[in-house]
Amino acid sequence: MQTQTIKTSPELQKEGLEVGKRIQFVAWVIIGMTVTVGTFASQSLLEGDWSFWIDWKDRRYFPILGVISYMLMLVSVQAACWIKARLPVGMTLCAVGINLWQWFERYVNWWGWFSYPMNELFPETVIPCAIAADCVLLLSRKLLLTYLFGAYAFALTFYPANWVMIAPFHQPVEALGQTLSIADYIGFSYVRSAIPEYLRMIESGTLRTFEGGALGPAIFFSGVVGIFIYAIFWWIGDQCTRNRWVKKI
Amino acid sequence: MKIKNHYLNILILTSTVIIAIIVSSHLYASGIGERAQEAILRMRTAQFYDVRFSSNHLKVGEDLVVTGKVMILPIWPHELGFSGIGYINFFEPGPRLIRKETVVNGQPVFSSMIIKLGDTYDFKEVLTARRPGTWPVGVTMNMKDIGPIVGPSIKVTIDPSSSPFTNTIQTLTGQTINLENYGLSRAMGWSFLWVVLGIGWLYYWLILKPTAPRLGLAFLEKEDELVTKQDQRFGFLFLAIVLVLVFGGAFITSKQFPIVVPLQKTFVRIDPLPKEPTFVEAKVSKATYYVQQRSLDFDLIVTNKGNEKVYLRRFQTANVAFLNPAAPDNQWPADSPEVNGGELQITPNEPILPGETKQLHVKAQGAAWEVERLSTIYKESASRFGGLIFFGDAAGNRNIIAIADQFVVPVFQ
Repeated sequence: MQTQTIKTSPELQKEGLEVGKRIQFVAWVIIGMTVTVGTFASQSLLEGDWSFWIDWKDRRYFPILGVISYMLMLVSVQAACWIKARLPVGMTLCAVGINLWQWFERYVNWWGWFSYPMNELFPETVIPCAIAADCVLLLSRKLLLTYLFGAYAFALTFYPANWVMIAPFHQPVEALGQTLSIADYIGFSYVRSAIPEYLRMIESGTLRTFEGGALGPAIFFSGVVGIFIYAIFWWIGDQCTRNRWVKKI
Repeated sequence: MKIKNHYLNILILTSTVIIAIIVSSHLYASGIGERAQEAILRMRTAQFYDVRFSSNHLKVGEDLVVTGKVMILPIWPHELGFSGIGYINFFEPGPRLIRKETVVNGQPVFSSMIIKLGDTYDFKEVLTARRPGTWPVGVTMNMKDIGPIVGPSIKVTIDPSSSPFTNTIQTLTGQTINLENYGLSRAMGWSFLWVVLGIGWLYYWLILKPTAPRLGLAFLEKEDELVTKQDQRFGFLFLAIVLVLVFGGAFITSKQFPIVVPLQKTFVRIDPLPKEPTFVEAKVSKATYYVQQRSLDFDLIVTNKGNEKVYLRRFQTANVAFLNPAAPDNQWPADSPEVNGGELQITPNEPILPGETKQLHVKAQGAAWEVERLSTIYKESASRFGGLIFFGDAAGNRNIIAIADQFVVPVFQ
């Protein structure tokens, strides 16, 4: 009788929809927070200082480690959202969550407690990369094309999107008898007692051809690695969504 | 039962308040952790001496100058490994002071240095007070593959200033910038733009579209109902916006900042200090650590090759110094940041005459061995010690002899 009343009452139906929307909103906020924690764990463990400090964001390791470290979790969540509900939002959900969390965490912990200026340790953004990869999935709706073009969409947009923020810090200054970038001088000036300069793994390695431009090969290399990461972590995301994990045994 | 719960609540609340008070009173470090390091690190690798801090009380914006020397002992502990790369660093709990300059052997140094065994590095660090408070600060020699070797430290009190702190520098393109906040609003604005766009994308899919029915439709593989033409047009539009913003933004940025340099990475070769004339030779022949008496005793064979009588004035290891009271003008300096280990007892304690060779028995006894956690030398993988012995004549000439890799035998009774 009550069910019949709900079915026939437009007001109750409307209210039911509103309640449903609210539950859906809360559910996605909880899911977003959960995947943010996972993304933060994998990304910060893998990328570490390259994500943290302005004088670590170089042309060689930053575009490679930045892409790889984020893609692990983002691809898995993308796979889960797509397989379960055909929602091309997994990457963007993680990317927005981790970006907000990183700004908050660095502001509270590193500025609030230790006084490091935020311009030394603001986080990179992968939201444009994530939206691009989600769009590739939506438009192609094919796994192979998503692996190929999604990985490259992510990798190719990563450095240009962050260059807007880090370029001002690459202007030259004369300090300590040599030419430094502003980022180098900030790293020197705001002392990191536990991170001596020799730990700063930047700009070293091979890739000395291509007219000295290490950035291009680094970006394309991260795209190639990204394809394999896509394949592996899509499979992991797929496995995680299987009902077998919640079945009674 | 209710009464019990009431008491339990009070107990939990009281405990929480007490813990909060204890924790909040130790929010900031009260030391720089030197005692936490193994004795082997502090005694047998690098030895700081003559370290001076220009002041222990500053106002925001005032300079602190730290000077001193650090000697890399000529024999490096085998179990630690020697990388040959070092970095003179400043220890503080976050950048309460900013570093303006580091000079080593007269050369300005930005990066790590190539370090040689047996060499001495004369350093100067200039810092500017930035954050009010009382902070433990000190110098360290960071050695690659080993970590920081902690030098002497003091507590610096920084008082507030009426003018806000700025850290300005002029770029080679002629722009004067304040490093405290340079580029921050640009980074925040760009990040915020992408957060808004990201939320817009999520809003379309997660708020405007009910999720629950999609789970069922996806299970039934009803693709066309799940991804419509409108969705794809929306996706195409978003992709276009992303690409235009990313590459357009990067292009405009490259026009805004046409002159940029990559991050700088290099190691610096430091010219050695000029050799000082040597007028004393000394060698440790036997060393014993008396555990109960907290005393390190060693025999020293000394030859005075100079023309003046010399005194053994000081023995120093791991920032703990023992002074010989019999040497002239050898009082403990008031501005010394090192730990005063006590009197150095020398037998016989007469000066060594020119041309004379004699054996001295040196006794460095004091609670500092325990307090500074150096008495563990006999518990480590190699029971050895290192340090510096300072000889001097009446004219103020000084010779420093390094003890490195010296066996020490413990006596437990």
